[in-house]
Amino acid sequence: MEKPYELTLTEVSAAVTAGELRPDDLVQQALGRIARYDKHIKAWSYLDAAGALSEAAALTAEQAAGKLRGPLHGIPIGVKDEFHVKGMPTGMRNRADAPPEPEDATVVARLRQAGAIILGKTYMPIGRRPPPTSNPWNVEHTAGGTSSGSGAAVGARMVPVAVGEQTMGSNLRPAAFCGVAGIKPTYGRISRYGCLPFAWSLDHVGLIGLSFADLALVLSLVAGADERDPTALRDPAPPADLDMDTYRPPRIGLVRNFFLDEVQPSMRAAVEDSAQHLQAAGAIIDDYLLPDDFALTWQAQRILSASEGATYHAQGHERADYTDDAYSGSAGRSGALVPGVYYLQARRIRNWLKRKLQATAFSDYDALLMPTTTGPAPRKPGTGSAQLLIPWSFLGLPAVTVPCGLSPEGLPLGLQLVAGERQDYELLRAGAWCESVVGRLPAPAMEFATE
Amino acid sequence: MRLTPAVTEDEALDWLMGEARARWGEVSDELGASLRSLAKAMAAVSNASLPEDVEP
Repeated sequence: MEKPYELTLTEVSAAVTAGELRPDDLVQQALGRIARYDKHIKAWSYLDAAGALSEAAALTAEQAAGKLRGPLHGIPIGVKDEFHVKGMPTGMRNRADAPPEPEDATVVARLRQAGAIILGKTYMPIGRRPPPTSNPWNVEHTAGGTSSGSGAAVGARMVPVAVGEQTMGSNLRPAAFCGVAGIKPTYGRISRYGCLPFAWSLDHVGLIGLSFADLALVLSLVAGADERDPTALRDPAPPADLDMDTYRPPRIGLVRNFFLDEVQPSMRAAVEDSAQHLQAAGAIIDDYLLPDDFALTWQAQRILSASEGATYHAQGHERADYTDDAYSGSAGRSGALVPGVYYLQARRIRNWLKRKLQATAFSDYDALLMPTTTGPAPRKPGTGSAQLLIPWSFLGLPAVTVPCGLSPEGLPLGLQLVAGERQDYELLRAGAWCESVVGRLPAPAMEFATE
Repeated sequence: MRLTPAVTEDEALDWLMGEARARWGEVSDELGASLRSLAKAMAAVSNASLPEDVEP
């Protein structure tokens, strides 16, 4: 098989099961692509090549003996440098002397149980330092927010799937900017144990992959109750099989207020064009208006993220050498000033709006449709805007991004679909159906790597 | 800072700046920008009308 890096995770999994691909070849290929492209893209903050090769050798032997650990047997995966990976330092600790972690985060442990090989950690911007990762479609442009390394690693086909995290917009924005699929599940769907926090009630473990079948497969393996994270949902993990043969085209509400007004013309055109294609393929698409008080989401989110971030960083704030420059905005001192009544009122607003949307939008529609971002990936040093993603992170509702073509500048664009609480499986089915209509993007040319 | 009657953005910012100065002394430009953003959020949250039975 000549170009296994062009295969989706589910295709690779099937090939490994059939003995057509070997774990050691998969890891060698991934390391080769990283060696060739990562000097330009900088997706990886920590690479355990020796460890991955050693593990791949063992998994190849098991494969030859007819023993497969799980659906991810021998497949290399990246993990955002916010998560604990046993034996690797966690970059988000922001310490030059960060020790190797003694144990895996729950999401990492479950990936390993399924046979995955953790190749290394993907870059995230730390504090005020500019994010080092570039977009594989054009290295003059950003790969997105804090999961930029994961988005770029998958976008550049170094690995078929990577773990990310989203507090405001930082899992789906990199996925959209890098031309691949992503899910920010319902809050609590994937355990946060072993994931360093930005804001406890806003942080969502997310996934970035090449297709919705891939996202469904990985979600089925990593979701589920976790005693070590009391906020993890006790629901059983959704099934891997999206059963698309029985799926009827979705009912979709195309959001006309709050979102489309904020976007660049190319993004607006992509949404309208995609909606027409989806409708022509059988989707029922209505214009939908969110309630006026939906505007509160952005402001209430600010209260929660500031308060929770300041609480987590309180010890650091007391250090004699503390400066605001040391931390990103949500971790600054200002959140320590928020009165308790405001924090609680922001949480009441969250529950009120969630209740309202469940009774209206999500009883009438399978999903709401809007852009993932305000436009394609901007030029560095910015990371783009999380504006269109913040409300769904605040509300804890599941959201996905579906690649929907390229901007006139040749940069990927994404459609955002959002569903009701705990409707992750149904949302993945809707996303897969939309993906089948609008198509997936090919791998970027990456002609900047000449050798 | 009161939650009700609803506060204006200016009231929230005045309060935040006073608290910041009392706690940390001079307010840097960066902290000031963060406080302005928070004041806007506090005003919006303070002005929200919610049913009585909604819990946090």
